[in-house]
Amino acid sequence: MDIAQEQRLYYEARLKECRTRPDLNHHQVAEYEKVLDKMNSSASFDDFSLWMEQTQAYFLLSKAEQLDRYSNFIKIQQFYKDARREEIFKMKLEAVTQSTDAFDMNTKLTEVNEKAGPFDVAARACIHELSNLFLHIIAYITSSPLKKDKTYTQVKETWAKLKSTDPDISVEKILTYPPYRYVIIFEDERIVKLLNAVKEVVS
Amino acid sequence: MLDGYGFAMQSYKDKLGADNEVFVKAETMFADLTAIAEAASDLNDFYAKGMDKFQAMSTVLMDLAKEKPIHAAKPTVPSSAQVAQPYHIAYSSIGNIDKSPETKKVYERVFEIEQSAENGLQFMRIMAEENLLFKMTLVPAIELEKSGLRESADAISLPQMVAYHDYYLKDLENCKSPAEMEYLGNVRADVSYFDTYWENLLVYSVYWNLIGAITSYMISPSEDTRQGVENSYRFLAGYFSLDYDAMIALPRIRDNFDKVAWVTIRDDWAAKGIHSQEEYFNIDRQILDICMKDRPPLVFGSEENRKVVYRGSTYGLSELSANYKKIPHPDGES
Repeated sequence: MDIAQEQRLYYEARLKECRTRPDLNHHQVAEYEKVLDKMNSSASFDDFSLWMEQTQAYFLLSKAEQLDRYSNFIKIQQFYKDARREEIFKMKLEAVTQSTDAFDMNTKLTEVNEKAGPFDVAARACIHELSNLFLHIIAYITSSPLKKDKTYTQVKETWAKLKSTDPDISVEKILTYPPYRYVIIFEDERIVKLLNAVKEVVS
Repeated sequence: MLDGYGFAMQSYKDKLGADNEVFVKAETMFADLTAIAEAASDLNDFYAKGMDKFQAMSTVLMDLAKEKPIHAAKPTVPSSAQVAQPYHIAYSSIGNIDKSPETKKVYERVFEIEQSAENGLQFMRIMAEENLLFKMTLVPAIELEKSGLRESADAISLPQMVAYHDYYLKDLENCKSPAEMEYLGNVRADVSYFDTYWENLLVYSVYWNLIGAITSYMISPSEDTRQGVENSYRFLAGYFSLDYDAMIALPRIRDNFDKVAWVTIRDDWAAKGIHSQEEYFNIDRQILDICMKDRPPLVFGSEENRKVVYRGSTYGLSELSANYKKIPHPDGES
């Protein structure tokens, strides 16, 4: 069996797979191309194997996979204009970019996951609380006289929770931040009317 | 999966010695993964939490393969059986429910190659050429999507989940690399996450708020609960320009009522002689008549209020059904 040929065919197959969506695999496409180019230009398979070891090519292939992964996640968040989650994936991309070997990549990703965890939770929690805010405002507006105090308290508590997950929260931000608008069924006019019903809370 | 790593770790420990620098790093990573597995609630949870570490673990195992053994030995190419071992473990760890015909076919082909390949390198080359590494993830995902998840979501009136399963199945059937699969999965999951809140606000503000007030009045008729019904009905008229009949005629609301509310309450109402949704609606109408008697007439909002906004597009309330919305997608609208 020709070991060199087996490896060449393996890398070619992986490259072919990556080229089905080069926009999502562009780091991997570049690495596999580099490996195959080196394979073609090496004087012998032993030379090629030595180059693979000396240049950490195995690690660079797996690093490329992670770079593609986080770049794709960033692309999604940029498209949906979710700035907070975009920032979290940028932190992870940076950790992979800076990593120098597999162990280092694992360490850096573990660190960044621990650091980004609370940001990620807050980025999701603020959506949950914003949705709750509208449910509670409607409950307050429509509640019976005996339930007014309780529903008003719920609005105030929800606003406080929302503020704790998004310190920049404001009427303006509710109207303009895309992820918030994804969960609200109303256009500006009805949103403002609902928020005005509790303006002493949200102002 | 962990058994596979564990097996490899033991082999390298014997080959390189426990104090080998790369082995010590690998051992730390393996301990991390084991801790994640022990803390995970199920296999999906383990995959989600350990996702970042799987690739790193695989890479460090490759680094271990390059380390010099403590016993002088002639370098050997691993056998196909050695390389295929993790796939046997993966196959045995798939629950019987997921071993549907297409998934079985993929693994049968993997094990067929294992038998025919001269060694591990040839095994991996054929696996890559036939896209089997990818198919081992893709095919079970497609079969899972076809196993009735869409129907289950439809049965409990979750149109956002129905849309998610419809679109995601189409995505899976067309995708050609692991990166694409993960990317499309994340797009759909992200959209569905927001849509769940959107649908919840829609159904609550148009329907459940008023029904809750009517139920409170039914249970405990008083001026206070009557006022609650009046307030909710005025909200429906003002914010959505709908009366009760127009509201209950909306397909989206009627779907939710039939699949969520009616299945919960129908036995109780049957005991009281109410056997159909129409009869039940008449009770709601009678209560609304009582609660609005001698009160000023409803004030309806503008015709525009019979519309809602979804990601920048406007839809009439009567248009809403499972796949009604244009979902902006990074690769083009779907």
